[in-house]
Amino acid sequence: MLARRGHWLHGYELSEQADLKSGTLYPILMRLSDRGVLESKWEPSPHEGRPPRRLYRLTAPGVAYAKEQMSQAGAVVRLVSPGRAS
Amino acid sequence: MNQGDEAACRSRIAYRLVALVLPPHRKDWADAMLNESNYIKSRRAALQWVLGCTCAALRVRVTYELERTFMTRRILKVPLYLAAVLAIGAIGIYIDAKPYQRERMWRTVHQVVNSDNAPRIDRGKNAFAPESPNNRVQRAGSP
Repeated sequence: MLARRGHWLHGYELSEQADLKSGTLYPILMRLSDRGVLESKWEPSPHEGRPPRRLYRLTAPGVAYAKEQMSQAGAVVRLVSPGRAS
Repeated sequence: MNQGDEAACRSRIAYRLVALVLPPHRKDWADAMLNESNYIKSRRAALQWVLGCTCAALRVRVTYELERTFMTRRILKVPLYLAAVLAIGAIGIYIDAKPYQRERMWRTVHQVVNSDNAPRIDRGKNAFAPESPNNRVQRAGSP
């Protein structure tokens, strides 16, 4: 999500990118939305008879938070196994 | 019933279930979760998606109920804090006690817990050892 910041993503797309099942993904999305790091909107379907889909993307504070978390995770990886860090 | 009708029927049933299970402030997520299944091409993947959404709804509901019960109800907070304080006090007393006092404490606890099966005869250090034939012989033979 951080790599494609600014882009709106569908739930199924997110699930495939993050390799998470829907049962794991949606509680996370709910919590992120509560914290204000994720925003969402409804997209009407281009196909006749299909329901609208919800799209998600990180907010500006969400991008900052994600970057901070990524840098912290990178620091931990460098600390644990210096050879793996690139 | 063709595949499209079957998917729509499955989606309606799942939607009702998920909307029923989700907490009131999360009802709009039922649409967000289940509408996705209409865009998944594989039938099996769509079914897995719907099952996952149902599990997610259950998890969210359980979390919501637990939080509401234990974190917001003051009626339950007071006894919980009191029990925690008492438990800490009991542990402190036990740590500070001498060995013979600890043994007496355990005996009291044992008698309270198993009031029907509490050992009636004081057998010293082996008060809680199971009744064996050897013990019985020794006691019978002792003056």
